Amino acid sequence: MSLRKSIALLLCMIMAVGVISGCTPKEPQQEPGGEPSGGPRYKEEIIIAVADEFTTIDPMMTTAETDQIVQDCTHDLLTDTNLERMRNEGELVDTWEMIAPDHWRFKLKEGVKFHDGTILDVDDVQFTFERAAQKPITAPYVGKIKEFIPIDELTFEVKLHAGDVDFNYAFAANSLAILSKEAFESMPEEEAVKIGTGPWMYEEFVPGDYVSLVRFEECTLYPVPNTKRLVFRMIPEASARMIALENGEVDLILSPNPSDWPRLEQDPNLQLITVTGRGQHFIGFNLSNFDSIVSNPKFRKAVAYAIDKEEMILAAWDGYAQASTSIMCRDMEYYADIEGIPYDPDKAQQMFDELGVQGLKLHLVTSDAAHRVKMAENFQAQMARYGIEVSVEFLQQAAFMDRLATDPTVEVFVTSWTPGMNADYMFRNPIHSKGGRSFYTNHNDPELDAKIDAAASETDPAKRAQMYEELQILLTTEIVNWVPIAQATLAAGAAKGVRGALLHPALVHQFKMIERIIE
Amino acid sequence: MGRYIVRRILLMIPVFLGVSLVVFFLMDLAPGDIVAFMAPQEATEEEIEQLRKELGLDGPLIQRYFRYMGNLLRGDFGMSLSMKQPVIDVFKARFPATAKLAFGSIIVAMLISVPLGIAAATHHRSWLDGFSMVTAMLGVSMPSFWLGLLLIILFALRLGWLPSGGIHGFSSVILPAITLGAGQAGHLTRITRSSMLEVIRQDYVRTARAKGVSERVVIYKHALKNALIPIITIFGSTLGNAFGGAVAIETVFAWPGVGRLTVFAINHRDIPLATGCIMLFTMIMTVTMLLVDIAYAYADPRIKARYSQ
Amino acid sequence: MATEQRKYSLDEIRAYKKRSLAAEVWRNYKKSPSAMVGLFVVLLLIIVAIIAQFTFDYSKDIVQQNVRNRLQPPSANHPFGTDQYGRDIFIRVLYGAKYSLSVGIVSVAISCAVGSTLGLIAGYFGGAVENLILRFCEIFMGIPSVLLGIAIMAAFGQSLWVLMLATGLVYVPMFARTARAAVLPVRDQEYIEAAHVCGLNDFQIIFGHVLPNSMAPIIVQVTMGVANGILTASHLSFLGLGVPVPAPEWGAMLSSGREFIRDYPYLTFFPGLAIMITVLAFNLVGDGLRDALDPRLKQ
Repeated sequence: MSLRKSIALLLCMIMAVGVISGCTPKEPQQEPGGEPSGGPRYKEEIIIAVADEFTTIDPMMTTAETDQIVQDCTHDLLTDTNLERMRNEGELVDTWEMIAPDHWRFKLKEGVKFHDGTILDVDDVQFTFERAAQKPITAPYVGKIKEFIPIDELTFEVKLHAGDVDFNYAFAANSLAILSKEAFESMPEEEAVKIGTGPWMYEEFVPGDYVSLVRFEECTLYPVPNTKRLVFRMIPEASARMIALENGEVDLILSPNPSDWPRLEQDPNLQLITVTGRGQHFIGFNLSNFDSIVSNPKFRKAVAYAIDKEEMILAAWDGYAQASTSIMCRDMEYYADIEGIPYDPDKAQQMFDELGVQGLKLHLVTSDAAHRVKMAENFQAQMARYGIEVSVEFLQQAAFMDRLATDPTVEVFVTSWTPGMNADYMFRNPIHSKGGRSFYTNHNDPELDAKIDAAASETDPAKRAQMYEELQILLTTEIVNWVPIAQATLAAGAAKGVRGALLHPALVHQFKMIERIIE
Repeated sequence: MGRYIVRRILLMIPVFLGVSLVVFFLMDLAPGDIVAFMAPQEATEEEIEQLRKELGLDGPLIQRYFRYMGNLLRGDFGMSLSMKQPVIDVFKARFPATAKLAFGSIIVAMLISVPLGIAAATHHRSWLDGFSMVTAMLGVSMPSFWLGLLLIILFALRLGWLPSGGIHGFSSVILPAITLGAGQAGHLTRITRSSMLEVIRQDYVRTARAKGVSERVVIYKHALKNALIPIITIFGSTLGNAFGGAVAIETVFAWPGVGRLTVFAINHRDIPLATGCIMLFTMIMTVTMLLVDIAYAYADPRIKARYSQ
Repeated sequence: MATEQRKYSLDEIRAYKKRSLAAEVWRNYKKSPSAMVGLFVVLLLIIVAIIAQFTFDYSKDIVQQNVRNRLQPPSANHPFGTDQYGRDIFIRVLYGAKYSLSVGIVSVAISCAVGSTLGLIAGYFGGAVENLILRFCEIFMGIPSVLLGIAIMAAFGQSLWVLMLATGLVYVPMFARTARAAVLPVRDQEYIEAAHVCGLNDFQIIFGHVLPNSMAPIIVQVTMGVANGILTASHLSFLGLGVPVPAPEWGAMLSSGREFIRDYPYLTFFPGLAIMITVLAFNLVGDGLRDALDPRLKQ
């Protein structure tokens, strides 16, 4: 008897824990208050919670976003996206000029100071490019340059192997942050890479825990921040980041769970910062798999009509995403707001019937990233309503990319493409048959290639706009290599009073001027 | 005794070789090309191959394995591909967190299991016995990550008493240590109870009782001392479980330990890091168990005698 | 009057011995209320798993989404509420019993078959063979089980079968050691020697004579193994390496509900409870069996 009683007792206790944790209201958090005084006072230390591990301060060693976010605080680029105006502008470069598509001149800003006290000049740029040429990750970026010609202390020209009317964007690659030549001559390499021109200086890195920066008191390129110390703390779980923010352990969190967004908006002590991401999330087809029905454009078009994008957005992003009508991303240059293929289940059913695909089995591969899993799961559920059975295979990211690049039997896949600002970036790598490694749709079409090339080298903006609009319509409604689903909203959560956090549509958020006012 | 230790150490060598082989080959079977993944979108095939060579990932598997083992014999665990640092440094940076969690969990386990086990043994077949046994069983049966989530909801979210994650200050170790300790407490309670029961029936305890020594003194002075010996023996394996079982808990509590690191390495196909972590893990576990065994042998003359034969 | 003495055939004696052994074990087993509770729950789970398999349509009731009806709290319509895709959690938990049970049982079958064979061979032959097998076991025991499981899942890809295989392989050394330990006392018994003399080969001796006499610890290990297997598999699923979605495996359900833990804790609560109850039940049965099979061990 005693045993049974004990079991019952314990089960009750467990239930009680569950019930309490489900129902007890939470006590309001005490905000650590500052003493009242005149004028705004700033918090001395700001802690940002990030999801992924920071690994290196060397810009040429990484393409990971967390690394680049930290590096963006300490190092600067020749040109960069101005996140307030959303266009490419000079950062270390003052002005530039396209002498010819394959011949460009750049002039650096004057008197920009590095953390080691030296002043930026053309030698530093040349040194950076030379170092970049030797590093596998950066070599492709400087590979376009045929010749580097220093003109004077602050002016240089580059000659390119091939004409590129968007060459100024090439310098916006985060890996090409400008390093100090003098630092590399006077310090060991691992110290020298820490020296940049940004408003923050590298302080300390505790692996798996945090990386800290201190403000650069003599910063000339930017105003000296009002915050003394900036810490990026790694908290992999989104829910844990949220709790840390609410408990006042951190000041800002990246990528909160969408289910926490309403809380961030409503809590008087918190704020939600959002931007529409530039990543185009899509369902892609392998057009060269002629054994599969996905090589039939009519079938692909039917799928495009069949998908309720709003429902998928609800399933994958809790509704926080903007449905796409074109395969091109919204905030890019030369984006045209085309109509695309609207959701029309009746038309889709009719097309499927004409194709006779009742009982069809499709195989979909995707990576194990949370939103892709959700998209794939929802796609499966939606297609089942048309009598199409989709089996889904989830792969680890590297394995997924490997599979897409090498396996000709892939039929359908879910992935995303995050281009830079310039229109050619959208089409070159994933769609042009000679464009690069993301050519997963395997659509070998010389005519399409020619159209992409022609648009990329057109110098007349009006004509160029026309060409890109035609490309978008052709790809979105006729070729249908992708069914574009949505551009997800990116978010950060912050304590009230935090200012100067700029979210980047391609995830390299900027915290150069972050500060928090204490009342 | 000396011969015994030497033998034990020699026996570790094939185990390490085997572990390295198993992990290296499993990682090679895993699909996914980390080099292509690391290279930027713009990189050409040649550039990727160059990167592969630079990272020492070119050539057939056997060649890579021998190259790896050659370096390992010189004490070089190689460079982590994703962290861009020596594997040994990455591991060293995370290990203290895992050790903290492991020891914390063992303390929790002891605090729960020893009193519970003693109570069960001294009140044999009473409701207290039943209660402790069912508690122990629940501890063993509860998925640790689930318990962790429940504790977070209750103590971090609803009550706000303790931090929900991270490794900052003493308070942050409490919830993860309880979570990990609960499962071990289950095993330990049962062991404490049975060894205590055994000791209580021994002659010397009966003699002590017969001499009129009070029940309290009998239990805590005579019986407990002897009953604790088997508990100490399994300390080694408990520590091993704490290291290995911490993976999900490190995930739930955002604990920057080696368990999470290893999972990260496997998922990112960071072969040197994954192999290195598991090797180091195994070494630490085996050495700990050896030390515990030696200490135990020294503590208990009967065992010492057996080994010296 | 001469009493009529009935002659028993050898088969009858065997049957009688078997029955009486099983009967005695059962008699002992029945004495423990906790073991009976465990057995009852295990049987109930098996019945639930079977019934759910036939009452629910996988593509309609289990995986079809109704996103606009998402995250409903528990109610009469949905006793455990609905998940982020508007699917009924109660039905999914019931249906999910099949995954946990099958993973637990199949993985134990793998580890028991491989491990016990290795252990029997090691214990029976001794010497170099034993040494080799023990070293092999040490290698696999040297790697923490969850990490080994993750590495195997990474190598062979994510599916229900690989999960069973990974969980099974992880526990091979445990069975090998148990079986070996069980064989050691049997090895030197006279009847084994007699079997040798009769000209039986090693295979016949191992499986005909050694195994049946060292069954008890293996049987206990099997029951406990199911519990361990379920726990390890749910661990892997929780880390995103188990049965792929949308299958309603409990560990995976728990994992995907984690992001809603703040406002909708029932997404994680019920699958976790289901795992715990199942594992607990198997552990109780294992405990009861151990006591019943070897009353001397009971204290």
